[in-house]
Parts: sequence; C-alpha cells; structure tokens
Amino acid sequence: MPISLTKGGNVSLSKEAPGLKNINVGLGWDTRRTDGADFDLDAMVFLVNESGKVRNDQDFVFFNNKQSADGSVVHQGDNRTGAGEGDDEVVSINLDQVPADIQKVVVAVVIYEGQSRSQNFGMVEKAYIRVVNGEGGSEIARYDLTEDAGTVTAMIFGEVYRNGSEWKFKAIGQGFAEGFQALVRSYGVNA
Amino acid sequence: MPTTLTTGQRLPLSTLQLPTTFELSLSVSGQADDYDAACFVLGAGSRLLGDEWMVFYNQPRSPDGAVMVRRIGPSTVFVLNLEQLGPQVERLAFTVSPDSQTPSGGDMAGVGSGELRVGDAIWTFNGRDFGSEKAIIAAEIYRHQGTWRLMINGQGFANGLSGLVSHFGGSLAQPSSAAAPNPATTVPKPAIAVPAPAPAPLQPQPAPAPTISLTKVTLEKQGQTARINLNKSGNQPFHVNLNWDAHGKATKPSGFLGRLLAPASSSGADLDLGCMYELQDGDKGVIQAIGGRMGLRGQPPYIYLDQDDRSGASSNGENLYLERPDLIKRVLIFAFIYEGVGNFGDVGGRLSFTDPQGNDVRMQLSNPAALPFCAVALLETRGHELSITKEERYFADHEKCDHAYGFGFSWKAGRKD
Repeated sequence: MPISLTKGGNVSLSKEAPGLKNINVGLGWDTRRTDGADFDLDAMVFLVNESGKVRNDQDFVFFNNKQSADGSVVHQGDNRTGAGEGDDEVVSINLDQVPADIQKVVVAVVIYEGQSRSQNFGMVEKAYIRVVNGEGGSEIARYDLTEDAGTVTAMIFGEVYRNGSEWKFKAIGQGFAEGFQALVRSYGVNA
Repeated sequence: MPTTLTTGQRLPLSTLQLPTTFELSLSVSGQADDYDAACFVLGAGSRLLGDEWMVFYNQPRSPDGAVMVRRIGPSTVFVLNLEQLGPQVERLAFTVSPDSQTPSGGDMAGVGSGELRVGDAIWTFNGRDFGSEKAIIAAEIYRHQGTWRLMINGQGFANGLSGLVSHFGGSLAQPSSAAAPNPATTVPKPAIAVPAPAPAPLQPQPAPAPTISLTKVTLEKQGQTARINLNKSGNQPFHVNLNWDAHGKATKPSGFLGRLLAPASSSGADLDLGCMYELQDGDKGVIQAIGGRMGLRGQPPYIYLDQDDRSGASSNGENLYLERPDLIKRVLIFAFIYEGVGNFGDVGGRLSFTDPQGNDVRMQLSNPAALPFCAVALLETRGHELSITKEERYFADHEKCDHAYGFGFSWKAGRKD
C-alpha cells in the first residue's frame, strides 16, 4: 500500500519495503493542454554530504551528466513534454552503492527555460514525485505537489536520505524563487 | 492591503476571507470592442456539466443559482455562492475572450489592461502576457481535499472559444453538420452553436443538439451579413430589439423609456421600430406603432410588435418578434425618429437581433445623417437559412425607403394614438 505524503511528510523506505536495494524515483506531470510552449521539466539530482553540499560537480546528476561518478545514481533520460503514460523522468538510485559520505540524494525539478517562457510550477498540472521499488516496480511513496507548487521555475520535490541504517524519503515541495542557477549553486555546484 | 496574485499562483480561497456570497470580477479593455467573460461550471475531469452550466451574458444564471453574472460598466461580475453548488461540481473556470471579429483586436495580445478581482486579491494582466491566444482561462476555483482553492491560470487557446470548449469536454458543433449526437446517449456532450458559414443543407435534419450560443456578432459595416440556421430555431420567436438612450444630446433629460409610446412629449427621444415584410406566399405589409399596425401573433404574418411591459423596469426599448422566419421572403427592419432628437447617432440607437439559441447580432446606428428614417437591416430567408444584412441606409421618410427597396406600398401620413 503506497504512502501518500503531504508537504514535509516522510516515510521509512526500509520499513515499507524490507530488503530494499534500489529504487526508481519517478517524476511526472501533465502535458500542457493549453496553447504555448510545452512544459519541459528536468530532474536535477544532488548527492550531498553532511554539510548539505556536493563533494564535486560529478555529484550533480542531470540531463548533461546522467550518472554520478560511482554509478549509484542514474538519470534515465529526458522527457521534454510530459507526454506518455507513467513517469516522465526517472532517476534510478542503487542504495547499496551510494557512497557512505553521501547523506542524502536531493531530487529537484527545474522548468527548462521557464522564465523566458513565462512558465512556473503553478501552471503545471498533476506534478508528482514517487518512489518505486527497483525490484518489482511497486510504488512505495508518492507526493502530489501541484497544490504546493509556487510561482517559481525551480523546486525541490523530495529527498532520499539516511537515517541511521535505514533510508527514508521526505516530501519537500519547496520552491526556489531565485531560479535554477541559484538552486544549483546552493548545493555547492560550480555553475 | 490588496493581495497581488500572479499567474500560476494557487491558494486556499479561505485566505481571502470572503463572505458566503462573494464576487469575482473581470475587467478587460484593449483593441477589441469588448471582452466577454464566462464561467464554466465543471464536474469530474474538468468537464462541463451541461449546456446550462455555462454562465455568461446569454445565460446569466446557473441552474442552482450558485453562479450568476451581471455586467456593471466595463466589469463582468460573477456573484458566487459555493455552498449552493452540488457535490458534482468540482471546479469553476472563469474565461475571457475578445468579442470583436476584427483580426487586429481578436487575440489576447491585444489586451491593453485586464484585471481580475476577488475580495482584496487582484490579478492584473495585459497583452504582453499572451501570444496568439484568442481565449484564456483566467482563473479557476476548485475543490481540493475538502476545501476550495483559487488558481490564477492565465493560459488559453489560439483557436479561441472552440479550444476552450473542447478543453472542457465539449465540442464545437457546426449547425450545418450532418452528424448529431445520439439522443440516447446518457452523457450530455454540450454542443456550441455558431452561425453556419455556409448555407445549410435542405434535407430534414436530425433533432437539434442542445446548444449554447456563444455568438455575439456585431455587424459593423453596411452590407455585412450574418446567417442563422433555421433548423435549430424551434418554435420560439426571433426577437428584434431597438434601443437607445432616452436623453439624447439634443434633449433635456426627461421621461422614461416606458413612456415612449405615449403621446409625444416635448423632450426625450422617441424612436419607433417597425418593419416592411414580404412573405413567401406574396403577402406584404407594414408593421409599426403608427396607425396601430402592431402585427399578429399566432397567425399570419406571425410578426408582431410587443406592446406589453412598457412601464416595467424590464422594458427596454422596442421589441419586434418574428415567429415564423421560415415563411419570410424578406423583412426590412426600420427605425425612425418620431419625436425628439433629430439624429440616431445622438441617442446611441442600436438594434439587436436574437435567435432562439441566443445568437445575438448587433448593429449600431451611428451614421450622422440628419435624416429621420433608417432602414436598419434586411432579413431574407433562403431554404433553411435566414440572413441578416446590415443596411443602415437613411431616408427622409417611409415612402422614399419603400421606393429604394421596391415593396410598393401606398403611403399616407399618420400619427400614433
């Protein structure tokens, strides 16, 4: 039975799915039904340490760097419109391979060229993030964040983090008013 | 302190601290002559619940009375009571589209300034916020986990109203289309009537689909024509209304519209509406208040002037009804100045023609000619189509008009009783 989270809520992935080894973090949104440029949402993943920063730029996984240096986090590809069934973008995380000094994996989403296209998350329908068991594909947790969406072009959707020996997932739903570059820099990426 | 809303913003309606019955107003001005606002009352999947659930100028009240609209100056004001909405209602979508048919003013990029106001919250917009959209969803009020929320949508459709309608699960039916919804279907699919661009087929048609009219055509120029498919007209009469401002520039303020058929007063405009008709069976005649030729209801010529309800507040100008447009060969609608001001333009003379679906054809009498008689519009029936052509030709009197149009009546002077 998947857990539906609200903003700020968290769930223990390890308890919900004992023996969990790898997960797929799926992002979805509805294709734009009104006229105008498509909503092109891009997943951006930050592997951060205790101090909340990336160790190096390789820990920032996105459409131009689809894999972390250790291979534990893999961006499965870019969907530019939100078209199609199921998740529009998927990030695979092999939990056992995540380096020990990585405290959490932050999943943010940026609307590509959102500012120049006058788009923001409030305009996007049915945006969500969900965590799916990499083995078997069952959904463990889900956060529908459309109603928490702000009039921003960059948002932290959720994070997968260590809590002692277990892995947890937290629904964040926090907008980043300063935009994509500020978001990236806030995690210590040299952008 | 007003709350400024931005496109894409979502918030619980409760944060605006609105009373049970509150108003949402839209004021838009720009290159188009006017901008129309509507409220679509939507059920599951953002589908229009039915024709009667679209609230706009031709249908100013939802069946449950929870949504009502009125025009106050430049503002379209929706009066809302969400508690009256049934549980099937999930969402209200407030839309804006340019009224004008003119290409330059026909899209939302032509908006000079727009404002949506609900309580203390204001969303302002202008043409720079849009591209080629010809209709937008300005805002939506919707249920979410037991509470009502407001979203500033600000997105739209380049194909205008048809885009909006299909967005809400409807389809834009062409009146001349051979396909009609299966009457047995249980899911009402709203069909929106538009004037047929081409003559309708002559063969009998299936039962007309339920229609909502969104059409408000303004005939700007002489010779411009609107066409109405008679197959959809049912048994309700077509309605011609002549209206004007009683206090013309040249007159002292006095009198009410309701007194206009009374013996002429020394001031105040008195415009009369009438018509010259020729039926397909050859019968010809004139209908006008002078001489008491009010026409007949329920029998030939099935054209009559309304002489009731003149004193009530609802009385608004003069009304002529056409019960059987299918019997018409041609009808020339005319207006003339019986007393008062000497110029149609001075009193803002205007004629509207409404068919049973609510299609609304309007024309202004703005020609500054100082002649007292105006041939306003010519109606002609061909097959199953009625055409309305703006004439706006000015004449010294009835007789000169008759000569121009060749009805061939004999004329003598008359006065109203």
